[in-house]
Amino acid sequence: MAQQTANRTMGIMGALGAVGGVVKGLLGALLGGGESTVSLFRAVSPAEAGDIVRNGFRAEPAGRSIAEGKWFATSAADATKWGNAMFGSQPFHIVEAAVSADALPSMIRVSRMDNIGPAVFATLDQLLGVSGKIIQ
Amino acid sequence: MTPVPALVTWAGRLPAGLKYSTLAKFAEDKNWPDRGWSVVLEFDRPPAELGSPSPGVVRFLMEDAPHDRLRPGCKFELFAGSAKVADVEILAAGEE
Repeated sequence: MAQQTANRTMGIMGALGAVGGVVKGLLGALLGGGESTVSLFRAVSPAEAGDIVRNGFRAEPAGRSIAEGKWFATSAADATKWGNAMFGSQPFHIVEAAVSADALPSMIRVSRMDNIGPAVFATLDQLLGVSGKIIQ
Repeated sequence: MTPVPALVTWAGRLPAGLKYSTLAKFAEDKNWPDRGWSVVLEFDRPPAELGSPSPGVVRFLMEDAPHDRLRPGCKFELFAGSAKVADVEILAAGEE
């Protein structure tokens, strides 16, 4: 239900040409009951995509990463640009995460990163219980 | 985007993989983290085995990044969100 609300809200915001997850979350709360969510996007390897689908977002299982969180794009298109830069000709997926709109203000946000677009850093604590969906 | 030799001093845990990428903070970044740039570090052996500091190579993630910043003697920091993860020093110019 929350996901449906977020998706409906994103469609409205897309039609308005507006950007801003916080506004989407507030609209979601107004349009439908329950927790409002904001969609964030991340380019990941096929292995990480499979792990996210099975286990949600968590620390890299093999312990190769030292980060206590993950960077996300605010659109699938931007995530694809980062994926192309990071993976080159190797395969990758775009994963969509529906995070609580309430959690978004406390996440590190960068207005423009790598000359691509906005980026959000979510800590593993903020991603606890967040599921991921492969969209591409 | 020729990778340049660099020495990476880790602030905490050492990566167990051969490749690591995150947001860099240069002295030139006046509005950091806004308009910041990601760098990619690559190592012959995992830093967890090399120890800290770890010798490796570094390049910007994007083609249109300010590559002239990666000059010998340049120092910058790496961040994952608000957490500093490493200091990086460029050791030499990249091979043409």
